[in-house]
Amino acid sequence: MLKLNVNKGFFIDLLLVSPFFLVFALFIVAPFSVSVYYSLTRGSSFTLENYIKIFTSESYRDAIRNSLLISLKSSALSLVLGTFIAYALTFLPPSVRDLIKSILLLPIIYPGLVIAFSLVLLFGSSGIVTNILRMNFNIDLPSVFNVRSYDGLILAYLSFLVGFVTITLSGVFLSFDKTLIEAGRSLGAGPLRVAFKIVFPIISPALIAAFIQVFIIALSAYGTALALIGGIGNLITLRIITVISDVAYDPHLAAALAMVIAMVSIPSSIIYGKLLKKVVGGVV
Amino acid sequence: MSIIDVLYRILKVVIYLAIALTLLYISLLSFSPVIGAFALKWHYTLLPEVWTLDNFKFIFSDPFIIRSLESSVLVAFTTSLSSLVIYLLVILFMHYKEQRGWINTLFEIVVIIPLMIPAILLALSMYELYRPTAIGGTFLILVFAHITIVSPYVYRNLYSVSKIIDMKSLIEASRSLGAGLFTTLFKVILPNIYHGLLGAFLLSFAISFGDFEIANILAPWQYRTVTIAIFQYSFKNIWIASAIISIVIFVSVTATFSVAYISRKAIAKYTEVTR
Repeated sequence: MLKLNVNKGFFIDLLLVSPFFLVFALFIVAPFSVSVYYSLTRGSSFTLENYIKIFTSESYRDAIRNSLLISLKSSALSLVLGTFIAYALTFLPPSVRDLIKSILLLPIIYPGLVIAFSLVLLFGSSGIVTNILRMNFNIDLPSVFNVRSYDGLILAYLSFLVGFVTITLSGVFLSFDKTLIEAGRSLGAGPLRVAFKIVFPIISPALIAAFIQVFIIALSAYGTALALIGGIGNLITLRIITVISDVAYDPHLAAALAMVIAMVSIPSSIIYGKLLKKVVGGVV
Repeated sequence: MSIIDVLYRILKVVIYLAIALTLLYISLLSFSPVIGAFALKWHYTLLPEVWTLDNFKFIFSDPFIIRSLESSVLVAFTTSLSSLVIYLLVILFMHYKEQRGWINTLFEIVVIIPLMIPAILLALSMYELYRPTAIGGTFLILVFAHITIVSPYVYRNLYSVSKIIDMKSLIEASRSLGAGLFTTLFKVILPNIYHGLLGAFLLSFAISFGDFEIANILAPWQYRTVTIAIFQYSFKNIWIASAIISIVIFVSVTATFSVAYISRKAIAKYTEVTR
Protein backbone atom coordinates (compact mmCIF):
# COMPACT_ATOMS: atom_id res chain seq x y z
CA MET A 1 0.00 0.00 0.00
CA LEU A 2 2.78 2.34 0.96
CA LYS A 3 4.73 1.38 -2.14
CA LEU A 4 1.72 2.15 -4.32
CA ASN A 5 1.44 5.60 -2.84
CA VAL A 6 5.08 6.33 -3.54
CA ASN A 7 4.69 5.24 -7.13
CA LYS A 8 1.56 7.31 -7.60
CA GLY A 9 3.31 10.34 -6.12
CA PHE A 10 6.27 9.85 -8.36
CA PHE A 11 4.02 9.56 -11.39
CA ILE A 12 2.24 12.79 -10.52
CA ASP A 13 5.56 14.57 -9.98
CA LEU A 14 6.72 13.42 -13.36
CA LEU A 15 3.48 14.52 -14.98
CA LEU A 16 3.78 17.96 -13.44
CA VAL A 17 7.39 18.80 -14.20
CA SER A 18 8.23 16.81 -17.31
CA PRO A 19 6.95 19.46 -19.78
CA PHE A 20 9.14 22.04 -18.13
CA PHE A 21 12.21 19.80 -18.13
CA LEU A 22 11.60 18.84 -21.73
CA VAL A 23 11.45 22.47 -22.85
CA PHE A 24 14.39 23.38 -20.65
CA ALA A 25 16.57 20.58 -22.02
CA LEU A 26 15.55 20.82 -25.66
CA PHE A 27 15.29 24.56 -26.14
CA ILE A 28 17.74 26.05 -23.67
CA VAL A 29 20.41 23.52 -22.74
CA ALA A 30 20.69 21.85 -26.15
CA PRO A 31 20.87 25.05 -28.24
CA PHE A 32 23.38 26.55 -25.85
CA SER A 33 25.56 23.45 -26.07
CA VAL A 34 25.33 23.62 -29.84
CA SER A 35 26.57 27.20 -29.72
CA VAL A 36 29.51 26.24 -27.53
CA TYR A 37 30.31 23.36 -29.89
CA TYR A 38 30.05 25.49 -33.03
CA SER A 39 32.17 28.25 -31.58
CA LEU A 40 34.94 25.77 -30.80
CA THR A 41 34.94 23.99 -34.15
CA ARG A 42 35.55 24.72 -37.79
CA GLY A 43 34.59 22.00 -40.20
CA SER A 44 34.62 19.10 -37.77
CA SER A 45 37.87 19.63 -35.86
CA PHE A 46 38.19 21.43 -32.58
CA THR A 47 39.97 24.73 -32.83
CA LEU A 48 40.14 28.14 -31.20
CA GLU A 49 40.38 29.73 -34.63
CA ASN A 50 37.01 31.55 -34.35
CA TYR A 51 37.91 33.23 -31.10
CA ILE A 52 41.41 34.09 -32.31
CA LYS A 53 39.88 35.68 -35.40
CA ILE A 54 37.57 37.81 -33.25
CA PHE A 55 40.11 38.94 -30.72
CA THR A 56 42.91 39.68 -33.17
CA SER A 57 40.82 41.53 -35.73
CA GLU A 58 40.81 45.27 -35.12
CA SER A 59 37.30 45.62 -36.52
CA TYR A 60 35.82 42.94 -34.23
CA ARG A 61 37.63 44.40 -31.22
CA ASP A 62 36.15 47.75 -32.15
CA ALA A 63 32.68 46.16 -32.28
CA ILE A 64 33.14 44.67 -28.81
CA ARG A 65 34.38 47.99 -27.46
CA ASN A 66 31.43 49.88 -29.00
CA SER A 67 28.91 47.39 -27.65
CA LEU A 68 30.33 47.54 -24.13
CA LEU A 69 30.63 51.33 -24.15
CA ILE A 70 27.09 51.92 -25.43
CA SER A 71 25.65 49.46 -22.92
CA LEU A 72 27.62 51.06 -20.10
CA LYS A 73 26.55 54.60 -20.99
CA SER A 74 22.90 53.77 -21.54
CA SER A 75 22.62 51.68 -18.39
CA ALA A 76 24.32 54.32 -16.24
CA LEU A 77 21.95 57.00 -17.55
CA SER A 78 18.87 54.83 -17.15
CA LEU A 79 19.95 53.87 -13.63
CA VAL A 80 20.05 57.52 -12.56
CA LEU A 81 16.72 58.38 -14.21
CA GLY A 82 15.02 55.17 -13.12
CA THR A 83 16.09 55.62 -9.50
CA PHE A 84 14.66 59.13 -9.43
CA ILE A 85 11.39 57.94 -10.93
CA ALA A 86 11.09 54.93 -8.64
CA TYR A 87 11.68 57.17 -5.63
CA ALA A 88 9.14 59.75 -6.74
CA LEU A 89 6.55 57.04 -7.41
CA THR A 90 6.31 56.37 -3.69
CA PHE A 91 4.79 59.82 -3.16
CA LEU A 92 2.05 59.26 -5.72
CA PRO A 93 -1.31 57.56 -5.13
CA PRO A 94 -1.41 53.88 -6.18
CA SER A 95 -3.60 54.50 -9.24
CA VAL A 96 -1.22 57.10 -10.69
CA ARG A 97 1.70 54.83 -9.79
CA ASP A 98 0.16 51.97 -11.74
CA LEU A 99 -0.51 54.24 -14.71
CA ILE A 100 3.10 55.47 -14.82
CA LYS A 101 4.40 51.93 -14.41
CA SER A 102 2.22 50.74 -17.28
CA ILE A 103 3.49 53.54 -19.51
CA LEU A 104 7.07 52.62 -18.61
CA LEU A 105 6.31 48.98 -19.35
CA LEU A 106 5.16 49.79 -22.89
CA PRO A 107 8.56 50.23 -24.56
CA ILE A 108 9.72 47.04 -22.83
CA ILE A 109 7.03 45.07 -24.59
CA TYR A 110 7.30 46.83 -27.95
CA PRO A 111 9.68 45.38 -30.46
CA GLY A 112 12.92 47.35 -30.27
CA LEU A 113 12.65 48.36 -33.88
CA VAL A 114 9.49 50.36 -33.18
CA ILE A 115 11.51 52.60 -30.88
CA ALA A 116 14.07 53.16 -33.61
CA PHE A 117 11.30 53.75 -36.15
CA SER A 118 9.64 56.40 -33.98
CA LEU A 119 12.94 58.13 -33.26
CA VAL A 120 13.68 58.44 -36.97
CA LEU A 121 10.09 59.47 -37.69
CA LEU A 122 10.38 62.31 -35.17
CA PHE A 123 14.03 63.32 -35.03
CA GLY A 124 15.56 61.83 -38.18
CA SER A 125 17.11 63.98 -40.91
CA SER A 126 13.66 64.60 -42.41
CA GLY A 127 11.69 63.80 -39.27
CA ILE A 128 8.70 65.80 -38.13
CA VAL A 129 10.31 67.53 -35.16
CA THR A 130 13.41 68.21 -37.26
CA ASN A 131 11.28 69.76 -39.99
CA ILE A 132 9.29 71.88 -37.56
CA LEU A 133 12.47 73.16 -35.91
CA ARG A 134 14.03 73.91 -39.29
CA MET A 135 10.96 75.72 -40.67
CA ASN A 136 9.97 77.73 -37.63
CA PHE A 137 13.07 78.21 -35.52
CA ASN A 138 15.82 77.84 -38.10
CA ILE A 139 17.51 75.12 -36.05
CA ASP A 140 19.20 72.31 -37.92
CA LEU A 141 18.76 69.36 -35.56
CA PRO A 142 20.85 66.75 -37.45
CA SER A 143 23.94 68.97 -37.23
CA VAL A 144 23.50 69.15 -33.44
CA PHE A 145 22.27 65.62 -32.81
CA ASN A 146 22.04 62.85 -35.35
CA VAL A 147 19.71 60.02 -34.25
CA ARG A 148 21.33 57.57 -36.62
CA SER A 149 24.44 57.40 -34.46
CA TYR A 150 25.68 55.69 -31.32
CA ASP A 151 24.32 58.55 -29.22
CA GLY A 152 20.95 58.12 -30.89
CA LEU A 153 21.10 54.44 -30.01
CA ILE A 154 21.76 55.32 -26.38
CA LEU A 155 18.74 57.63 -26.44
CA ALA A 156 16.65 54.80 -27.92
CA TYR A 157 17.86 52.32 -25.32
CA LEU A 158 17.02 54.76 -22.52
CA SER A 159 13.33 54.58 -23.40
CA PHE A 160 13.04 50.96 -22.37
CA LEU A 161 15.90 50.58 -19.88
CA VAL A 162 14.40 53.24 -17.61
CA GLY A 163 11.30 51.08 -17.28
CA PHE A 164 13.32 48.06 -16.15
CA VAL A 165 15.18 50.10 -13.51
CA THR A 166 12.02 51.77 -12.23
CA ILE A 167 10.08 48.54 -11.90
CA THR A 168 12.97 46.76 -10.15
CA LEU A 169 13.51 49.61 -7.73
CA SER A 170 9.94 50.70 -7.06
CA GLY A 171 9.28 47.70 -4.81
CA VAL A 172 12.39 48.53 -2.81
CA PHE A 173 11.45 52.17 -2.40
CA LEU A 174 7.88 51.28 -1.45
CA SER A 175 9.11 49.18 1.44
CA PHE A 176 11.76 51.76 2.31
CA ASP A 177 11.31 53.38 5.71
CA LYS A 178 11.10 57.08 4.87
CA THR A 179 11.44 58.18 8.48
CA LEU A 180 15.14 57.44 8.03
CA ILE A 181 15.37 60.19 5.42
CA GLU A 182 13.34 62.54 7.61
CA ALA A 183 15.66 61.78 10.52
CA GLY A 184 18.74 62.51 8.46
CA ARG A 185 17.18 65.65 7.12
CA SER A 186 16.14 66.99 10.50
CA LEU A 187 19.66 66.37 11.79
CA GLY A 188 20.89 68.71 9.07
CA ALA A 189 22.11 66.35 6.35
CA GLY A 190 21.90 67.62 2.77
CA PRO A 191 20.40 65.62 -0.10
CA LEU A 192 23.76 64.20 -1.20
CA ARG A 193 24.66 63.11 2.30
CA VAL A 194 21.25 61.50 2.80
CA ALA A 195 21.58 59.77 -0.55
CA PHE A 196 25.05 58.36 0.06
CA LYS A 197 24.83 57.62 3.79
CA ILE A 198 21.24 56.45 4.17
CA VAL A 199 19.53 55.59 0.89
CA PHE A 200 22.29 53.93 -1.16
CA PRO A 201 23.47 51.46 1.49
CA ILE A 202 19.92 50.15 1.80
CA ILE A 203 19.02 49.98 -1.87
CA SER A 204 22.46 49.00 -3.20
CA PRO A 205 21.63 45.30 -3.90
CA ALA A 206 18.64 46.39 -5.96
CA LEU A 207 20.68 49.12 -7.65
CA ILE A 208 23.40 46.69 -8.68
CA ALA A 209 20.82 44.13 -9.80
CA ALA A 210 19.04 46.74 -11.91
CA PHE A 211 22.33 47.89 -13.41
CA ILE A 212 23.34 44.35 -14.37
CA GLN A 213 19.91 43.71 -15.84
CA VAL A 214 19.85 46.77 -18.08
CA PHE A 215 23.50 46.35 -19.04
CA ILE A 216 22.92 42.84 -20.36
CA ILE A 217 19.73 43.88 -22.12
CA ALA A 218 21.52 46.74 -23.87
CA LEU A 219 24.40 44.45 -24.76
CA SER A 220 22.36 41.65 -26.28
CA ALA A 221 19.42 43.47 -27.90
CA TYR A 222 19.75 44.09 -31.61
CA GLY A 223 16.35 45.10 -33.01
CA THR A 224 16.77 48.78 -32.22
CA ALA A 225 20.36 48.88 -33.44
CA LEU A 226 19.49 47.10 -36.69
CA ALA A 227 16.69 49.52 -37.50
CA LEU A 228 18.57 52.63 -36.36
CA ILE A 229 22.20 52.15 -37.41
CA GLY A 230 21.96 48.90 -39.35
CA GLY A 231 24.29 49.81 -42.17
CA ILE A 232 26.71 52.09 -40.35
CA GLY A 233 27.09 50.80 -36.80
CA ASN A 234 29.76 48.38 -35.67
CA LEU A 235 28.36 46.35 -32.75
CA ILE A 236 28.78 42.69 -31.84
CA THR A 237 25.11 41.91 -32.41
CA LEU A 238 25.08 43.68 -35.79
CA ARG A 239 28.17 41.74 -36.82
CA ILE A 240 26.39 38.48 -35.93
CA ILE A 241 23.46 39.45 -38.13
CA THR A 242 25.85 40.31 -40.95
CA VAL A 243 27.65 36.99 -40.59
CA ILE A 244 24.47 34.92 -40.68
CA SER A 245 22.66 36.84 -43.41
CA ASP A 246 25.72 37.12 -45.61
CA VAL A 247 26.36 35.02 -48.68
CA ALA A 248 29.32 33.64 -46.75
CA TYR A 249 27.09 32.16 -44.07
CA ASP A 250 29.38 31.21 -41.18
CA PRO A 251 27.61 29.68 -38.14
CA HIS A 252 30.94 29.00 -36.41
CA LEU A 253 31.99 32.62 -36.36
CA ALA A 254 28.45 33.74 -35.46
CA ALA A 255 28.36 31.30 -32.54
CA ALA A 256 31.73 32.52 -31.31
CA LEU A 257 30.55 36.14 -31.49
CA ALA A 258 27.38 35.25 -29.60
CA MET A 259 29.48 33.43 -27.03
CA VAL A 260 31.42 36.66 -26.45
CA ILE A 261 28.14 38.23 -25.32
CA ALA A 262 27.31 35.15 -23.28
CA MET A 263 30.69 35.36 -21.53
CA VAL A 264 29.55 38.68 -20.12
CA SER A 265 25.87 37.87 -19.66
CA ILE A 266 26.12 34.47 -17.94
CA PRO A 267 28.33 35.40 -14.97
CA SER A 268 26.62 38.74 -14.48
CA SER A 269 23.13 37.27 -14.63
CA ILE A 270 24.11 34.72 -11.98
CA ILE A 271 25.14 37.60 -9.74
CA TYR A 272 21.86 39.29 -10.70
CA GLY A 273 19.90 36.21 -9.65
CA LYS A 274 21.66 36.10 -6.28
CA LEU A 275 21.06 39.81 -5.67
CA LEU A 276 17.43 39.47 -6.68
CA LYS A 277 16.74 37.30 -3.66
CA LYS A 278 17.61 40.24 -1.43
CA VAL A 279 15.41 42.61 -3.38
CA VAL A 280 11.91 43.20 -2.11
CA GLY A 281 9.07 43.60 -4.56
CA GLY A 282 8.40 42.66 -8.13
CA VAL A 283 10.73 42.40 -11.04
CA VAL A 284 9.47 42.17 -14.60
CA MET B 1 14.15 78.67 5.25
CA SER B 2 17.60 77.15 5.51
CA ILE B 3 19.87 76.32 2.61
CA ILE B 4 19.23 72.60 3.16
CA ASP B 5 15.49 73.04 2.72
CA VAL B 6 16.14 74.89 -0.52
CA LEU B 7 18.31 72.02 -1.69
CA TYR B 8 15.55 69.52 -0.96
CA ARG B 9 13.02 71.72 -2.76
CA ILE B 10 15.30 71.88 -5.81
CA LEU B 11 15.83 68.12 -5.72
CA LYS B 12 12.10 67.56 -5.68
CA VAL B 13 11.58 69.82 -8.69
CA VAL B 14 14.39 68.06 -10.56
CA ILE B 15 12.88 64.65 -9.82
CA TYR B 16 9.42 65.62 -11.00
CA LEU B 17 10.88 67.25 -14.08
CA ALA B 18 12.79 64.05 -14.84
CA ILE B 19 9.60 62.01 -14.56
CA ALA B 20 7.61 64.40 -16.71
CA LEU B 21 10.27 64.49 -19.43
CA THR B 22 10.76 60.72 -19.44
CA LEU B 23 7.04 60.05 -19.65
CA LEU B 24 6.67 62.64 -22.40
CA TYR B 25 9.56 61.08 -24.32
CA ILE B 26 8.20 57.56 -23.96
CA SER B 27 4.65 58.55 -24.89
CA LEU B 28 5.96 60.49 -27.89
CA LEU B 29 7.91 57.46 -29.07
CA SER B 30 5.05 55.11 -28.35
CA PHE B 31 2.23 56.98 -29.97
CA SER B 32 3.67 58.91 -32.89
CA PRO B 33 3.42 55.83 -35.15
CA VAL B 34 -0.28 55.62 -34.22
CA ILE B 35 -0.80 59.14 -35.54
CA GLY B 36 1.41 58.34 -38.50
CA ALA B 37 -0.84 55.41 -39.33
CA PHE B 38 -3.59 57.87 -40.29
CA ALA B 39 -1.31 60.15 -42.28
CA LEU B 40 -1.06 60.51 -46.00
CA LYS B 41 1.21 63.53 -45.78
CA TRP B 42 2.97 64.60 -42.59
CA HIS B 43 6.06 66.74 -42.82
CA TYR B 44 5.97 70.21 -41.36
CA THR B 45 3.20 70.34 -38.76
CA LEU B 46 2.50 68.89 -35.33
CA LEU B 47 -0.28 66.71 -36.72
CA PRO B 48 -0.54 65.20 -40.20
CA GLU B 49 -1.36 67.60 -43.03
CA VAL B 50 -3.53 65.10 -44.86
CA TRP B 51 -5.38 62.38 -42.98
CA THR B 52 -6.42 59.09 -44.49
CA LEU B 53 -7.63 55.59 -43.72
CA ASP B 54 -5.96 54.15 -46.79
CA ASN B 55 -3.00 52.79 -44.83
CA PHE B 56 -5.29 50.50 -42.88
CA LYS B 57 -7.23 49.61 -46.02
CA PHE B 58 -3.94 48.69 -47.61
CA ILE B 59 -2.63 46.52 -44.79
CA PHE B 60 -5.91 44.61 -44.58
CA SER B 61 -5.83 43.90 -48.30
CA ASP B 62 -2.16 43.08 -48.69
CA PRO B 63 -1.80 39.26 -48.57
CA PHE B 64 1.75 39.40 -47.18
CA ILE B 65 0.72 41.57 -44.22
CA ILE B 66 -2.45 39.57 -43.53
CA ARG B 67 -0.43 36.39 -43.60
CA SER B 68 2.12 37.90 -41.20
CA LEU B 69 -0.65 38.99 -38.82
CA GLU B 70 -2.12 35.49 -38.89
CA SER B 71 1.23 33.86 -38.14
CA SER B 72 1.94 36.31 -35.33
CA VAL B 73 -1.42 35.62 -33.70
CA LEU B 74 -0.93 31.88 -34.16
CA VAL B 75 2.57 31.95 -32.66
CA ALA B 76 1.66 34.29 -29.80
CA PHE B 77 -1.46 32.34 -28.91
CA THR B 78 0.26 28.96 -28.94
CA THR B 79 3.21 30.37 -26.99
CA SER B 80 1.15 31.89 -24.22
CA LEU B 81 -1.17 28.90 -23.91
CA SER B 82 1.62 26.34 -23.75
CA SER B 83 3.80 28.38 -21.40
CA LEU B 84 0.77 28.84 -19.12
CA VAL B 85 0.23 25.10 -18.98
CA ILE B 86 3.92 24.37 -18.39
CA TYR B 87 4.33 26.88 -15.58
CA LEU B 88 0.96 26.15 -14.00
CA LEU B 89 2.13 22.57 -13.62
CA VAL B 90 5.44 23.77 -12.20
CA ILE B 91 3.68 26.00 -9.68
CA LEU B 92 1.36 23.14 -8.69
CA PHE B 93 4.37 20.91 -8.23
CA MET B 94 6.06 23.47 -6.01
CA HIS B 95 3.06 23.61 -3.69
CA TYR B 96 1.89 20.03 -3.98
CA LYS B 97 4.87 18.51 -2.24
CA GLU B 98 7.31 19.63 0.39
CA GLN B 99 9.73 22.15 -1.06
CA ARG B 100 13.01 20.74 -2.25
CA GLY B 101 16.13 22.89 -2.46
CA TRP B 102 17.54 21.94 -5.83
CA ILE B 103 14.24 22.22 -7.61
CA ASN B 104 13.73 25.74 -6.33
CA THR B 105 17.19 26.70 -7.54
CA LEU B 106 16.26 25.38 -10.95
CA PHE B 107 13.10 27.44 -11.07
CA GLU B 108 15.00 30.52 -9.97
CA ILE B 109 17.12 30.03 -13.06
CA VAL B 110 13.93 30.29 -15.14
CA VAL B 111 13.63 33.91 -14.13
CA ILE B 112 17.08 34.81 -15.40
CA ILE B 113 17.22 32.67 -18.54
CA PRO B 114 16.40 35.41 -21.05
CA LEU B 115 19.02 37.57 -19.39
CA MET B 116 21.59 34.81 -19.18
CA ILE B 117 21.34 33.55 -22.74
CA PRO B 118 21.00 36.34 -25.29
CA ALA B 119 18.03 35.91 -27.64
CA ILE B 120 20.34 36.19 -30.62
CA LEU B 121 22.41 33.21 -29.39
CA LEU B 122 19.32 31.14 -28.69
CA ALA B 123 17.81 31.89 -32.09
CA LEU B 124 21.07 31.23 -33.87
CA SER B 125 21.69 27.86 -32.28
CA MET B 126 18.07 26.75 -32.46
CA TYR B 127 18.16 27.50 -36.17
CA GLU B 128 21.24 25.33 -36.57
CA LEU B 129 19.93 22.57 -34.33
CA TYR B 130 16.33 22.22 -35.51
CA ARG B 131 16.49 23.22 -39.15
CA PRO B 132 16.92 19.62 -40.31
CA THR B 133 14.24 18.26 -37.95
CA ALA B 134 10.47 18.06 -38.30
CA ILE B 135 9.77 21.30 -36.41
CA GLY B 136 12.33 23.25 -38.47
CA GLY B 137 9.97 24.57 -41.12
CA THR B 138 6.90 25.03 -38.92
CA PHE B 139 5.76 27.81 -36.62
CA LEU B 140 6.49 25.52 -33.66
CA ILE B 141 10.19 26.36 -33.69
CA LEU B 142 9.24 29.99 -33.09
CA VAL B 143 6.81 28.97 -30.36
CA PHE B 144 9.46 27.03 -28.47
CA ALA B 145 11.93 29.89 -28.69
CA HIS B 146 9.26 32.30 -27.44
CA ILE B 147 8.36 30.04 -24.52
CA THR B 148 11.87 30.55 -23.20
CA ILE B 149 11.73 34.33 -23.45
CA VAL B 150 8.29 34.73 -21.89
CA SER B 151 9.05 32.28 -19.07
CA PRO B 152 9.99 34.85 -16.39
CA TYR B 153 6.85 36.87 -17.00
CA VAL B 154 4.58 33.83 -16.80
CA TYR B 155 6.43 32.28 -13.87
CA ARG B 156 6.54 35.52 -11.87
CA ASN B 157 2.87 36.26 -12.43
CA LEU B 158 1.71 32.78 -11.45
CA TYR B 159 4.12 32.56 -8.55
CA SER B 160 3.04 35.86 -7.01
CA VAL B 161 -0.62 34.88 -7.37
CA SER B 162 0.04 31.53 -5.75
CA LYS B 163 1.60 33.42 -2.84
CA ILE B 164 -1.35 35.83 -2.56
CA ILE B 165 -3.98 33.09 -2.41
CA ASP B 166 -1.79 30.86 -0.21
CA MET B 167 -1.98 27.99 -2.63
CA LYS B 168 -0.24 25.56 -0.30
CA SER B 169 -2.99 25.74 2.31
CA LEU B 170 -5.66 25.54 -0.39
CA ILE B 171 -4.16 22.36 -1.80
CA GLU B 172 -3.73 20.86 1.65
CA ALA B 173 -7.30 21.70 2.63
CA SER B 174 -8.67 20.31 -0.58
CA ARG B 175 -6.65 17.12 -0.29
CA SER B 176 -7.50 16.56 3.35
CA LEU B 177 -11.17 16.73 2.36
CA GLY B 178 -10.51 13.87 -0.01
CA ALA B 179 -10.20 15.62 -3.36
CA GLY B 180 -7.82 14.22 -5.92
CA LEU B 181 -5.33 16.21 -7.93
CA PHE B 182 -7.67 16.93 -10.81
CA THR B 183 -10.61 17.96 -8.63
CA THR B 184 -8.22 20.19 -6.69
CA LEU B 185 -6.94 21.67 -9.90
CA PHE B 186 -10.24 22.38 -11.64
CA LYS B 187 -12.52 23.09 -8.67
CA VAL B 188 -10.16 24.83 -6.25
CA ILE B 189 -6.99 26.16 -7.85
CA LEU B 190 -8.10 27.44 -11.25
CA PRO B 191 -11.13 29.45 -10.04
CA ASN B 192 -8.82 31.17 -7.56
CA ILE B 193 -5.95 32.05 -9.85
CA TYR B 194 -7.75 32.84 -13.10
CA HIS B 195 -6.73 36.51 -12.87
CA GLY B 196 -3.07 35.49 -12.56
CA LEU B 197 -3.51 33.19 -15.52
CA LEU B 198 -5.15 35.94 -17.52
CA GLY B 199 -2.40 38.43 -16.67
CA ALA B 200 0.33 35.97 -17.57
CA PHE B 201 -1.48 35.08 -20.79
CA LEU B 202 -1.86 38.70 -21.90
CA LEU B 203 1.74 39.62 -21.09
CA SER B 204 3.24 36.64 -22.85
CA PHE B 205 0.92 37.14 -25.82
CA ALA B 206 2.07 40.74 -26.16
CA ILE B 207 5.74 39.85 -25.80
CA SER B 208 5.57 37.02 -28.28
CA PHE B 209 3.51 39.17 -30.68
CA GLY B 210 6.05 41.98 -30.48
CA ASP B 211 9.18 39.88 -30.75
CA PHE B 212 11.44 40.74 -33.64
CA GLU B 213 14.87 39.59 -32.58
CA ILE B 214 14.11 35.87 -32.53
CA ALA B 215 11.57 35.85 -35.35
CA ASN B 216 13.97 37.65 -37.68
CA ILE B 217 16.43 34.77 -37.44
CA LEU B 218 14.16 31.81 -36.80
CA ALA B 219 10.85 32.35 -38.60
CA PRO B 220 10.38 30.04 -41.61
CA TRP B 221 9.48 31.99 -44.75
CA GLN B 222 5.81 31.02 -44.70
CA TYR B 223 5.50 32.18 -41.08
CA ARG B 224 7.03 35.65 -41.34
CA THR B 225 5.66 37.53 -38.35
CA VAL B 226 4.20 41.01 -38.18
CA THR B 227 7.40 42.58 -36.83
CA ILE B 228 9.28 41.33 -39.87
CA ALA B 229 6.61 42.96 -42.02
CA ILE B 230 7.19 46.21 -40.11
CA PHE B 231 10.91 45.98 -40.70
CA GLN B 232 10.46 45.43 -44.42
CA TYR B 233 7.85 48.15 -44.87
CA SER B 234 9.85 50.71 -42.87
CA PHE B 235 12.14 50.93 -45.92
CA LYS B 236 9.26 51.17 -48.42
CA ASN B 237 6.49 53.30 -46.96
CA ILE B 238 6.70 54.65 -43.43
CA TRP B 239 2.97 55.38 -43.13
CA ILE B 240 2.04 51.80 -43.97
CA ALA B 241 4.74 50.62 -41.55
CA SER B 242 3.15 52.95 -38.96
CA ALA B 243 -0.22 51.34 -39.56
CA ILE B 244 1.23 47.87 -38.90
CA ILE B 245 3.09 49.22 -35.86
CA SER B 246 -0.12 50.64 -34.46
CA ILE B 247 -1.59 47.13 -34.42
CA VAL B 248 1.40 45.92 -32.36
CA ILE B 249 1.04 48.97 -30.13
CA PHE B 250 -2.66 48.24 -29.68
CA VAL B 251 -1.85 44.69 -28.53
CA SER B 252 0.87 45.88 -26.13
CA VAL B 253 -1.22 48.70 -24.67
CA THR B 254 -4.24 46.45 -24.17
CA ALA B 255 -2.07 43.82 -22.51
CA THR B 256 -0.11 46.08 -20.13
CA PHE B 257 -3.07 48.16 -19.01
CA SER B 258 -5.34 45.20 -18.48
CA VAL B 259 -2.62 43.36 -16.57
CA ALA B 260 -2.23 46.37 -14.27
CA TYR B 261 -6.01 46.58 -13.88
CA ILE B 262 -6.47 42.86 -13.26
CA SER B 263 -3.68 42.60 -10.72
CA ARG B 264 -4.92 45.65 -8.80
CA LYS B 265 -8.42 44.16 -8.70
CA ALA B 266 -7.06 40.81 -7.58
CA ILE B 267 -4.89 42.27 -4.84
CA ALA B 268 -7.79 44.40 -3.59
CA LYS B 269 -10.07 41.37 -3.55
CA TYR B 270 -7.69 39.16 -1.62
CA THR B 271 -6.53 41.76 0.89
CA GLU B 272 -10.21 42.35 1.60
CA VAL B 273 -10.76 38.65 2.19
CA THR B 274 -7.83 38.31 4.55
CA ARG B 275 -8.71 41.51 6.34
